[in-house]
Amino acid sequence: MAETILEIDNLSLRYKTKKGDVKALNRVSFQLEKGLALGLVGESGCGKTTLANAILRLLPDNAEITGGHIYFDKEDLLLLAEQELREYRWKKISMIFQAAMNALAPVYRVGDQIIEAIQNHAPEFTYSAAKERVQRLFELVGLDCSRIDHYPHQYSGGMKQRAIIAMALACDPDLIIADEPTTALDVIVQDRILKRLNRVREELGMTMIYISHDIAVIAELSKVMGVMYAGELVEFGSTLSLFKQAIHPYTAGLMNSFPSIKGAKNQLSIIPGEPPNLLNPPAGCKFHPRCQYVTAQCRQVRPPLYRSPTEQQHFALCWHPLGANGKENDHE
Amino acid sequence: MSEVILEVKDLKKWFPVRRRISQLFKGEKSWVRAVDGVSFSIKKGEIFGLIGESGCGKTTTGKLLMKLLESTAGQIIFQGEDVTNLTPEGISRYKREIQMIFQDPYASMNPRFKIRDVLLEPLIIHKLGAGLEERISMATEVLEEVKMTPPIEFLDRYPHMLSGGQRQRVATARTLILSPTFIVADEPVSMIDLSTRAEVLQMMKEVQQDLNLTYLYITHDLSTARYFTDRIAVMYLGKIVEMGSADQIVDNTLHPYSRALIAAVCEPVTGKVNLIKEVPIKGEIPSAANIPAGCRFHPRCIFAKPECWELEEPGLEEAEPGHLVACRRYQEIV
Repeated sequence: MAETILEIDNLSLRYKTKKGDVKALNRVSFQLEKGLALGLVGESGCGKTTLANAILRLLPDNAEITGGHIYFDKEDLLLLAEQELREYRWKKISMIFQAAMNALAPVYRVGDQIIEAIQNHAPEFTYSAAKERVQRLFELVGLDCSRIDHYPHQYSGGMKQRAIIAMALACDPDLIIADEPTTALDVIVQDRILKRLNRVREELGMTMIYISHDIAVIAELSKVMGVMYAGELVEFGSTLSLFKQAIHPYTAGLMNSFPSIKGAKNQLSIIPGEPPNLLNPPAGCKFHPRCQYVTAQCRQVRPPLYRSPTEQQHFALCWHPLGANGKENDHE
Repeated sequence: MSEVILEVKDLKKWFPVRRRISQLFKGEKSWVRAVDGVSFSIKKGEIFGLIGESGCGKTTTGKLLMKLLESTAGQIIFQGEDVTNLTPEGISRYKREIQMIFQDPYASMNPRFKIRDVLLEPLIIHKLGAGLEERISMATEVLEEVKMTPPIEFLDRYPHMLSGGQRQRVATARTLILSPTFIVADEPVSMIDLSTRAEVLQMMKEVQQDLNLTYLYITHDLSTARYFTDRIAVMYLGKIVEMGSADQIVDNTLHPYSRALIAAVCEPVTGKVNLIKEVPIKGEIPSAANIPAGCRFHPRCIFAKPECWELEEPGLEEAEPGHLVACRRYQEIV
């Protein structure tokens, strides 16, 4: 078994607001092996971005980690002081932010912005060495080197996204967290960027976490996937195993509500209701108000971890796991 | 079903761009040809999809139909009447018949309006309904139509108290309150949570069937279009390159651009997990200020031959009944 690079252990987090505490993460646990791509899916507000920000501790002032550990290379990041954590940011763990299109400063040349990031985190680089590195990074992400001295407004959306990826790669990190890297882009550009990102990851042997609301993107790119709902990681396992037999009814519902372009034109199944408000989440299983298999138990007690009989790494939080007890998974 | 409700003939919208000084002296003008000769007709009771990448002119087309923009050339014929040059009274009447659902349910509602005000405003503008009581009863009726029940509970809420899906229901209710015959829906579900998206589309379809409405559904998402629409037109750089029934477009794709669009859609299918496929297209979308000569898709087409850029642009021709394609070589590249 490969080495574990990231381990999240029972992580809970809340945002304090005037209206009360928003329980954004509730006892999230998983392990990620080195060199793998993990896809995190979930709807807006399910806590996936919070989880990513918590790893790098890029949280707003009102956020409070109420429990748990984040181990990166066996070091607990939560015990580190801000100054020590800076050593990790960008050099060991870097991030491609959501709406990266707007993450570039409009009045600086794109190349200079990346050079600044390099010199900030690795002062040993001279300007010319850093510039050489930028050229290599541009080649890696498929941007023309003549573009280094251009301003962001001269770039198209897809090119800006590539520049942001180049910046995230600048210090050779071990782990990259890509938060909705292609949400604002068209399908064709999205496809290019994802392919490039995946190739770069394979070439450099990096570990990556893709965060997306688009289950299809995750299916294509990641070996392992996690499904988040209302601040909980409700299912986690290899992508193959999840698509073969989803355990959690929410995962199965998500897969069925997704329209397919090829194959049979089935009626889309609908998950009734809306995601809960985390100011006042439902008791027991967070998904119970929308679940068709709900029982009294689900309404009161948080479900236990259920492991797939065929694959130990595949688990879900559910009282009535699909595929067990002869229950059919109606996916497909 | 067979009666044509809306016909668009060679519709164009060119936006002027700032000129260089040299052009100013020569008296030249530059244009962004956002919509560059679009023709289609929509039958009553039909859901017609307009598909393309951002910048292809699909939203501009929607705005032209809504008369939010004035067209540069071409005609829009609605229920047999040319609405291109209407008097102000004519426009007001027309805008009661044709309504729009916008993409962003968070930005298209006044945050200081209660749902009641959001719904009553169109009635006030169009001077419909006698007195507050009748207007309120109209509002509760449309809220029921979009399955916001019980309506009384929602009337006094503010938009921020609603989820994205509920807001888009209110936006739909707001268009329905004027009893329109035609609705332009511009990416109505792209900003809604994944798990509620199918539900909102389902609701829109039920409303359409209940009230015998006609929709123009504008989107970049071919997979929802396939489920939601009867016919689809694929737009590229201001022109329609392929048009046909939803099944024809998806199952018997003819234009190389439509093929690329379909190939680029990620597919969550068990057997295809972790399979990275090839998308048959080159380069990036050119600017609409500088449209390539010949077939406007040729610089990105993997099948392009000299005839594609040397000869003039191909028009739409019928490949099979009801299925039109604008490609010179569609028969060779199957």
